[in-house]
Amino acid sequence: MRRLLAALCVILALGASVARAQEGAGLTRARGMYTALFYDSAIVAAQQALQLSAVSTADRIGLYELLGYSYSSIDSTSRAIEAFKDLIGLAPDREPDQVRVSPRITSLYMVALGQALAIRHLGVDSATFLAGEPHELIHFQVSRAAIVRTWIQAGRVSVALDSQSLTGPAAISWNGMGPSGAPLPPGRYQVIVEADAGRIQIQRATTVVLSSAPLDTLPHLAALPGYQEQAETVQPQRDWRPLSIAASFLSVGLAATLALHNSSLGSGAPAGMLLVGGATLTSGLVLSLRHPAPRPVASALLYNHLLRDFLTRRNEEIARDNEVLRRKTLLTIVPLPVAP
Amino acid sequence: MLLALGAAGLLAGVAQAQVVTVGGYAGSYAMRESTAGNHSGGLDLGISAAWHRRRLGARIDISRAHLSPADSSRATFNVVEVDGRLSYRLSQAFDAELGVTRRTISPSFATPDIGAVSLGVRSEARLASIAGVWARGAFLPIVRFNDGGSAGTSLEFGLGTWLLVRGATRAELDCEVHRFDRSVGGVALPVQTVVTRLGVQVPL
Repeated sequence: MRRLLAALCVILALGASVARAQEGAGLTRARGMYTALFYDSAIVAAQQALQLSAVSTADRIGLYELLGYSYSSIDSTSRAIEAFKDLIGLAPDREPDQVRVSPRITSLYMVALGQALAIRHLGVDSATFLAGEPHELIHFQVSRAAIVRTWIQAGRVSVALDSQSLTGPAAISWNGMGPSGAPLPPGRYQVIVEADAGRIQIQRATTVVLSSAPLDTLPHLAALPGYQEQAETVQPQRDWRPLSIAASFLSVGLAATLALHNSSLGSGAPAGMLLVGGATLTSGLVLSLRHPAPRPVASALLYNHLLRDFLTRRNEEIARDNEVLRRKTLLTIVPLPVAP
Repeated sequence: MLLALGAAGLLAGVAQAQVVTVGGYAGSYAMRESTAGNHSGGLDLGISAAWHRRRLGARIDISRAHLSPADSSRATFNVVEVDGRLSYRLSQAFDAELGVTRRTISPSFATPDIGAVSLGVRSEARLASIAGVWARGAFLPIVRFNDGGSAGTSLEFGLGTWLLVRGATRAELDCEVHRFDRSVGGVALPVQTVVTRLGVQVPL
């Protein structure tokens, strides 16, 4: 039984590979005929290949392109346009290589593009921006006039970004905010563009990854680089002024005492005057010999005051800025690569 | 003139900041009279009060001394002295002073009572924030004695030093010398006193 099943699987696999080979062979045969300038044969081969039920999308794109080229080459304009329209429907971003193909093919492709409704070259820029500040992120082209709506979606969350009637290139801005007014949470989102031209409606989508991070806050300053506080006091040198003042007063006192001396009363220099003079001189000497008190430096005090004042004001500004920064979120949006 | 200035200042500056200090002191009082041998000495006790506002100042001293003559045959006597002074600051270091002195002796005529008016200058300098020194000299143009006589030349001189001992409380040590060249009927009877005091001044 097992052997029978294994044999069946091998047969099926072989059948599938043979079919795939036949499909690929159809495109190759049609291209060969086109290259050999047998356009009618190329058209027949391409149409036969398209008849196959399990033709891949990539081959289908190639076959419609080949049909468009071949019809253009035999001046079958309307059929060429139809083939190109089918091509645009399958691969809107695919364009004839203007270097390799004739201008006639290019012009017929452009005619087909004008008739078909296509959203082309949809892309989202990688960007890092502040939530709440609009950033031009989404770019695309619409082949003909249509009402175009753009939104971002993930599960039930949907944020409408834009809705307008346009044709040609378009750029849509987004501020990173969700429907609640808060930044969208990190995650995988789809950017969807829908074009509505009456009877025809098409949609294209691309996936982006959104991440968020709080903004870096500034550290408070403990000192200003390049500016240092200055010494607010200086140690003065020994000052002999107290002793000189005391000596001066003592001299005056002794001179005055001598002047007041009345010889008839027989009194010499009064002991009290000598006592006070001695005390004065001693005070002056002690005060001159003692370690002088540090003297404040007015300029340094003012400089330090200004420095501290500036530092305080700068830190207040930093605190205010940090308060604003803490309320902001930095969003990073990165589009996921589209599988070829 | 100074009295007028002082009165004007007193009236003008009533509401402004002022400094009032009171104090007490003790010391020695020595008096010599007429001759070298006639001298007395004793303990002197007194109180004082001072007031300052801007450039103006006033001070009053009341003291009492009990003096014992060197001549033991003479009786002891008391001296009560009242000094009042008005001052006006001329510059940072100098004050002009106008003063009156009344010296009363008991018992009477143990030595003459004296009343005098003085005109002088006082200079003060700081040795440091906690200590200072001052000197004052005065001429006494008007001197009266209760037992007659006149004074040809009368001068006084003082020297003092102070030290902050606690807060704004000052300890003061000073010495004042008074010389009265008194003569009675052409006979010279000079009087000289030396007062040495140690005291404190407390701001109110």
